[in-house]
Amino acid sequence: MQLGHPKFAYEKGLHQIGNGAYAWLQPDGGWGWSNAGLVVDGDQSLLVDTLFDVPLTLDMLAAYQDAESAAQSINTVVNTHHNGDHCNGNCCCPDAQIIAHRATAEHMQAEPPEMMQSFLDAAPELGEMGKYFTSCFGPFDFKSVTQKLPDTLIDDETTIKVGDKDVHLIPVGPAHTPGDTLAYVPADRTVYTGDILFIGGHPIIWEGPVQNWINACDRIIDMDVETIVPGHGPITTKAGVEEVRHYMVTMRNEARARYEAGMNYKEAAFDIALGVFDDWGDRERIVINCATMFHEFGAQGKPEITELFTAMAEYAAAFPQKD
Amino acid sequence: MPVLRLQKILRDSAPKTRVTLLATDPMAKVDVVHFASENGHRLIGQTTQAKAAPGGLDLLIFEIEKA
Repeated sequence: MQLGHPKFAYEKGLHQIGNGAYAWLQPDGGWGWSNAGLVVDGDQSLLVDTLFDVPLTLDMLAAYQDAESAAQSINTVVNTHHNGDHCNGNCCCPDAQIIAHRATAEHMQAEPPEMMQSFLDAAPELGEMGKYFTSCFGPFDFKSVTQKLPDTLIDDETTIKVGDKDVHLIPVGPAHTPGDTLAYVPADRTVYTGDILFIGGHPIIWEGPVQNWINACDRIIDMDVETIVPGHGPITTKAGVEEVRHYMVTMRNEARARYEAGMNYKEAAFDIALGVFDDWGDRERIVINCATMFHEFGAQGKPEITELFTAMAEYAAAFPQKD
Repeated sequence: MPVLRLQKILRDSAPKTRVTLLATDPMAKVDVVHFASENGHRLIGQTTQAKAAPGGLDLLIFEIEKA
């Protein structure tokens, strides 16, 4: 099924939504290749997310500045969640107010870019897991990043202004991560969803519960929006949101049946037929998703990060992605 | 499983207790760092002594301070 918005090609770079709203897309939307947004009104500008490293973020900012004089100096950055591919580039906006959910700020501190770099440094000694980890995160320049944390924290739904435009910041986590936040701009009939939406790729359920994710999809579906900018993948419509919702409901049912049958999370991940989601990218994320859902169902403890990446490397080798 | 042992020791320790963890599994370079960071513990130091463990394995030494 084609889930991209018919008005927007899925091409790298700047996409003008209209009325001072933009999206920056990074195909193919896999690990670390995130989307971001720009909202302007008058001489005011707001970024929704920065990118995984400084060179990528500077490229994006240059394009924004070519498109809008208001982007010469960014007033505000909103981080939709704490994963580095949505906030590592904050340091490229030294004068901006950085707004995020309190849980996002806390988890940013727990996952600094130096830690990703240390994992990449260790990867050559870590066999197939190390190769897989490097294939996911090796393309990015974490040494370029000086972490810039949010200076303004939100706990609940909050409305901020960009010029005369309202931007509603809507916490919907924990789902993908603890602090997931939507940025809804009614005047542009646009919502920037962060990683509540992966379009054309398997979502990663780092946190759960899945019901929060389903509720977040319902919240987006109820919005008066025409343009939906996901955290990864092409700009989409409500049809794309419905598909992500469908994924969550389906995978929760599939995982629960295997949990109740006595499988462990890895056995479940390898056993689940992906069906209509088989052609979505990064299928091995079903491993993380099953681990998180099994924890939600009552399984004790969560696997270590290397156990998850080892199992994902095995899955990717066993079930290579079809072209 | 270095992280499980670390977790158990820290659970029974007072805040600011310093623990030295010895490991030979290279995965500990990721898992111990990740565990400490995610749980607010401070990784004070991390060194490797080449071939210093039994069997000629590298000895990984982590110093952690409980949150």
